[in-house]
Amino acid sequence: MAKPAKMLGELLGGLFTKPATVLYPFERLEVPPRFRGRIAYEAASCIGCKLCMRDCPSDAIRISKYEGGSFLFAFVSARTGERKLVEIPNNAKKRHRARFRLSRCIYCAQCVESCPKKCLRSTDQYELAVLGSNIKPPKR
Amino acid sequence: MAQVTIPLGPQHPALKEPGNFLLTLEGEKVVGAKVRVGYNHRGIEKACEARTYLQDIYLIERICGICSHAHTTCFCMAVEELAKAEVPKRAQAIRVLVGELERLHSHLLWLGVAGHEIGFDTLFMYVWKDREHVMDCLELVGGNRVNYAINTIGGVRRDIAPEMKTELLKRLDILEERTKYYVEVGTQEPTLLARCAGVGMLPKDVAIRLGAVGPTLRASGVDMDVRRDDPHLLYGELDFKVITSDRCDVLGRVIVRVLEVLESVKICREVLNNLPEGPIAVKVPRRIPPGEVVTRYEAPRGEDIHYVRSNGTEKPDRVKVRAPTLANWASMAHMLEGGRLADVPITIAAIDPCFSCTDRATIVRDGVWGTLDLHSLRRRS
Amino acid sequence: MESLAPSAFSLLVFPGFLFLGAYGTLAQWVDRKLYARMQRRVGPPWYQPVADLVKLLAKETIVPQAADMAVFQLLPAVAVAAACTAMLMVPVWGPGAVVSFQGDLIAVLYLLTIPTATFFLAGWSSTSPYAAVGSVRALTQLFSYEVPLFLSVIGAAILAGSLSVQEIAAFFAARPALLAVNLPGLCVALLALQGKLERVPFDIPHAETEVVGGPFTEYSGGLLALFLAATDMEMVVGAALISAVFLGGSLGLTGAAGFALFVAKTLGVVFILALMRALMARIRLEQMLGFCWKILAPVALAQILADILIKRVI
Repeated sequence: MAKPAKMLGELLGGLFTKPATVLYPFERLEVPPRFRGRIAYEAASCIGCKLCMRDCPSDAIRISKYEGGSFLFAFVSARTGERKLVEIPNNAKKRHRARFRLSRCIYCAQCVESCPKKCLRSTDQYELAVLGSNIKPPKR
Repeated sequence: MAQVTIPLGPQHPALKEPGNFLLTLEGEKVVGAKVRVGYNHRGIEKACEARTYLQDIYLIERICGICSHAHTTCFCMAVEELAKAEVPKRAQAIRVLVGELERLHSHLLWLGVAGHEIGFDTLFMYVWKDREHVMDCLELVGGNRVNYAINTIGGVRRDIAPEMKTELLKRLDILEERTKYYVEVGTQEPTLLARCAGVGMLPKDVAIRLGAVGPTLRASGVDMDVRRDDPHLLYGELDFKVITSDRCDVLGRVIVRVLEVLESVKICREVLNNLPEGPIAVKVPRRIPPGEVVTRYEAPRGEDIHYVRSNGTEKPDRVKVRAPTLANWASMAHMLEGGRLADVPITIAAIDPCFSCTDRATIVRDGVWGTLDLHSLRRRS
Repeated sequence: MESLAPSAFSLLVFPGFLFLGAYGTLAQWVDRKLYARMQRRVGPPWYQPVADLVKLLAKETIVPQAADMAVFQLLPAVAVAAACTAMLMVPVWGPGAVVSFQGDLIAVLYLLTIPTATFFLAGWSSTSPYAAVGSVRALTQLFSYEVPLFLSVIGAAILAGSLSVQEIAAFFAARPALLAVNLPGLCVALLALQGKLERVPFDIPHAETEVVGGPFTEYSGGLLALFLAATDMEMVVGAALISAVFLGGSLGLTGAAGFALFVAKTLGVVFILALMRALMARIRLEQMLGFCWKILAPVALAQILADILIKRVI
């Protein structure tokens, strides 16, 4: 049996309630604790076994040996696109470095599980797209 | 009256993914329909052969956004059977939980899309607002709203913590209440009934002959469900009803899907309240002994079949996926012919098509349709 | 009171072209905002319809090669012109309309039919299969809502004893109690207006999921902007006609108070139209024909009968 204007009550109620829209970027939703965002790497614990490289489905992580002085880390701000060079001193323990290709990464966190020394973890950063024409591709 | 051939697609507002339907119209009546798919072919089966089993899970997951868990579970079940691994009960329970949450997600999404296809944008907005609850549940469990990647070979990757359980149960209660409201809207709103009743008729014998699966088949009165007929995971021990409808039309499919949502909520509650203790995965060696296996799984759209052949290395020899939508296309031409142009979008939407799931292997050689067998295909690659 | 010579001011500024354009954008915004709020969404900001129009005007106008050039490009202007002319005969500022004569009610209804005819011709001259199907649907739909609309309006005219919109409004302004007699006619007119404006549940001609854009499929740029402006203006004229014939117009008030009442009533009609749009799904063409001829037309006829009987009594 049909009831005309079935949704009338809900519709009229909708006029007086707050909309369900989250006004991103002015409002943001909280991400749950185990959200799979950008991967963070801790060079101090890495032993260079490259299990993460073997298991990555999209060839997004490269582990390589690192010899030499301090790290020169190119930091690109996700919001403004400005490029800064940050110097990180090298302890004797740092022997490896990781390079992530964020455009290739599918954020599955398989590398996090495969790592035997637990030096990779998922952060909650998901705003990884960058604006700006001053972003140049890294030199290979 | 003169006959006009209108191409519906590959780009068309009615289609969420590219697909082509050549409709021959006489006025508003469809006198001929030709279904052409293949626009979403990405070579996933071939790509699976170049990656290890562990990497293949993520590739298989991305066959489809909404049945991602169904595909990975089916694949993992196949590989575990080849490796003769015994998956712990807790892992199976978590797989069932995520699978039923995914069924909820898929059916609510479908209800909104069906509303949009018949011009009922209000239903679309309301249902998708409630779908956010399911996505939040899945994000809590898996770490991502779509492509939840909870499976690994040998079990699941993440466990369910007690505070997660309370949150999930709370949201399931909200969803159940809202879904009951949508059952009422689906059966009482007169314009919706006018658009869906008597449209896209698929009689019972035709459905069986053309090999339909899933809610499309169950809405034609056929009582078939892989969860009950060929129990996998924990479905043999769970208490749930298989929903069928004798209407054989789009309205029957609406009713079957919405009632299946209510059943899924019940299953999720049952699993959450009775989670078995134990580990969440077993260790499976990287090299899988040679063999071949076929597994079936009840995806939200129907029966999903995976075939995996291993050759003793850590990469599969051949992976074949027969997604449920592929089985439903044959019924599509039958349903479209004899109908009206206005019914075409909702008829297409009623089988819940997933073009991405469908396109596995279609060969066109020099413009002529044909099929190549596996060895000639291998020789060419 | 007959007046037949509108000034250039009333033709071009108020209540002619500029006012109608601006008020049309306001009405479109109110409609979209209410529609969104009812769906628990935020809805567009107030300048959205203006921004849409400006964006369309800035885009390139592409005309299909096989289309009839002159007809294709002239039709949007004809639609806008018809809507503007119809507005002149409906009271806006106070109880008097700019142009008023016996029978201008028929003229308004006739002028409101012209945009639908232009939609049909637009789709037909586009030579695209989607546009052809859409235009045929528009014409078929015309045969279903036109008669109930005419009948319901004639009912009120019979009760008022005049065929001039201005005089009908004045009649009901003097006897507000008689407005209740025409309530069924009001419902019929609102549904028929929804059909004329081709909005859900009657937006069959340009059902996006079926025929892409319907008659407007091949239209882009400035021409599409004019067509959309014509539909906005049609909504305003229709709402103004309903408020004058069924709701008593400005109820005898003059000046700014009368205008405020006009705005309130037309926006009230727009609210009902938005509510109808949110409440229902799109029905099929033959279902619409059935509904209009089997339900709306008989109700309107019964309304006319009631009006004739009551006219004899008073």
